[in-house]
Amino acid sequence: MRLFSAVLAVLTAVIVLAGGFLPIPVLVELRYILLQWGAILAGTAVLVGFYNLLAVHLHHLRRGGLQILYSLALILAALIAFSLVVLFGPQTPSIQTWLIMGIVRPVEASLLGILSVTLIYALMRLLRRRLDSLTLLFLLSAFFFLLAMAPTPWGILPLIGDFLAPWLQDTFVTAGARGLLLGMALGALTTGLRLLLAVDRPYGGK
Amino acid sequence: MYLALLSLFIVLSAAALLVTLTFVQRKSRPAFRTIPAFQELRRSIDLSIEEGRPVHLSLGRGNLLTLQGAPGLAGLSMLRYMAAQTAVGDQPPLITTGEGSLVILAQDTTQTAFRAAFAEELYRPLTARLTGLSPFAYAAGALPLIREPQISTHIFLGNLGAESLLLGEAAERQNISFIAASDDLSAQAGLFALTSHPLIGEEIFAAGAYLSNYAPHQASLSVQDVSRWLLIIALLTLPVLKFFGVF
Repeated sequence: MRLFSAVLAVLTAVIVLAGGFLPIPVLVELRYILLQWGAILAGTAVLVGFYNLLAVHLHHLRRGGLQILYSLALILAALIAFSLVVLFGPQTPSIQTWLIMGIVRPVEASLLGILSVTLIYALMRLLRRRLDSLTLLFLLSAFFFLLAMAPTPWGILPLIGDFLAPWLQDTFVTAGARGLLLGMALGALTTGLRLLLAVDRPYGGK
Repeated sequence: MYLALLSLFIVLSAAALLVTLTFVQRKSRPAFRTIPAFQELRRSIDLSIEEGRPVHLSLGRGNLLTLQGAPGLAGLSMLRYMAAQTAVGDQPPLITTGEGSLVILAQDTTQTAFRAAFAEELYRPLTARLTGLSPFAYAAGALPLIREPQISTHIFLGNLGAESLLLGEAAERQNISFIAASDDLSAQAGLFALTSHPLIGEEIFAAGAYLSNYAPHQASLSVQDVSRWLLIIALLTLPVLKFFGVF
C-alpha cells in the first residue's frame, strides 16, 4: 500500500510537471484532468478539516471547563453556516456573500485593527529583549519609512519623502526582498523535488 | 517555448544534483553554519520531554496545490522530527493549521512517527487541528491554544501572513520559547520583532537538514547552496553579456 501510494504520487507529479513544461497535447490534457481531480480532493480535505474542527470542539464540550461556551458557539455557528450554504447551494451566492461580508470580514477587519497596537507593543518589547546591531537597523528603517510616509500639514517631507525613501525602496529594499524571494523559491524547488523523488512522503510512507 | 525548456532543464539538473549529493554525502556529513533558532528548538523539545509538556506547531494555511504549500511541507519535515522525539515522552505535539489537507498530512506524519517509535497507542488524531479556514479565523481559533499554560514551546513554520503577528504576540507574552518562520515577507518582518530566534528567508526550508541526519535533506540544502551560487553568477554575467550584445 505504501509503495502504491508513493508510485501514484510520483507518477502524478511527473505528469503535472511535464504537462506544464512541454506543449504535448496528451500531457497538457492529462495535467488538466489531474489538476481538476486535485481541486476536488482539496475540497474534500476541507470537509475533513471541518469535521476535525467540530470533533475538537465536541471534545472540549465533553471535557468541560471555561471553553464550553466558545466551543458551543463555534459548533452552532459552523453548523448554521454550513447548512445555509448546502441548503441554498452555489446558485444563491447572496447567502455566502452575506455570511462573508456581513460577519467574517468585519470581524477580520477588527482583528487587523488590533495588529497596529500589537506591532507597537512588539517593537517596545524588542528593545528590551534583543538590543543588537540588526535590531537597531530594523528599528531605524521602520522609523525612517514611517517618517517618509507620514502625512504632515506640509504634505510629504522634502528630501526624505520624495527622494531618499523612494530611492532606498527601489534599490536596497527591492533588492533585499528579491534576494529573499529567490532563496525561498530555491527552497520550494528542493522541497518539491524531495516529494517528486519520493524521498519525503508525508502521506504515510516515511 | 525556450523559457519552458530552460525551466525543465533547471528542474532536471537540480533533481540530478540532489540524487548525486544524497549518495556522496551519505559518508561525510556536510558542515552547515549555526542557526540559533534550530539550536533553541532542539533544546526546547528536550526540555518539553523532560517536563512532560506538549509543543505547539503551527503549519500555517498554505494550499498544497499552490506554491504557498511548500512551507507547509517543510513544516511537516519539522513535525516528523518533533513527533519522533516526543514519542519517547507522554505528550504528543499539538498541531494547528488553516488548511484541510495539512490536517490530514499532519495526522498521518504524527502517526507514522509514533508507529516507528513503537508508541502508536500514544497517538491521538485530535492533536492535529484545523482552527479556521480564512487567515484571521485561523488566528482566532489558534489563540486559545497558544494561551494554554501547559504548552512549553510554540513553533510557527508555514505559510502565515499578517495574522501570524497576533499569534506571535500572544506566544511571546507567555514567556516561553517561541520560534517562527514564514514565506510571507511582511510576516517575516513582524516576526523578526516578536521572536528572539527568527528564521529569515529560505531558512524555513532548512529545518529537516538541521534537525535530522537524513542524507536527502542535507543534500537538498547543498543543492540550494550550489543553485544560489549559479544564480549569483548568472545575475552578474548575463547583464554584462547583454551589454556587449552577445544575445
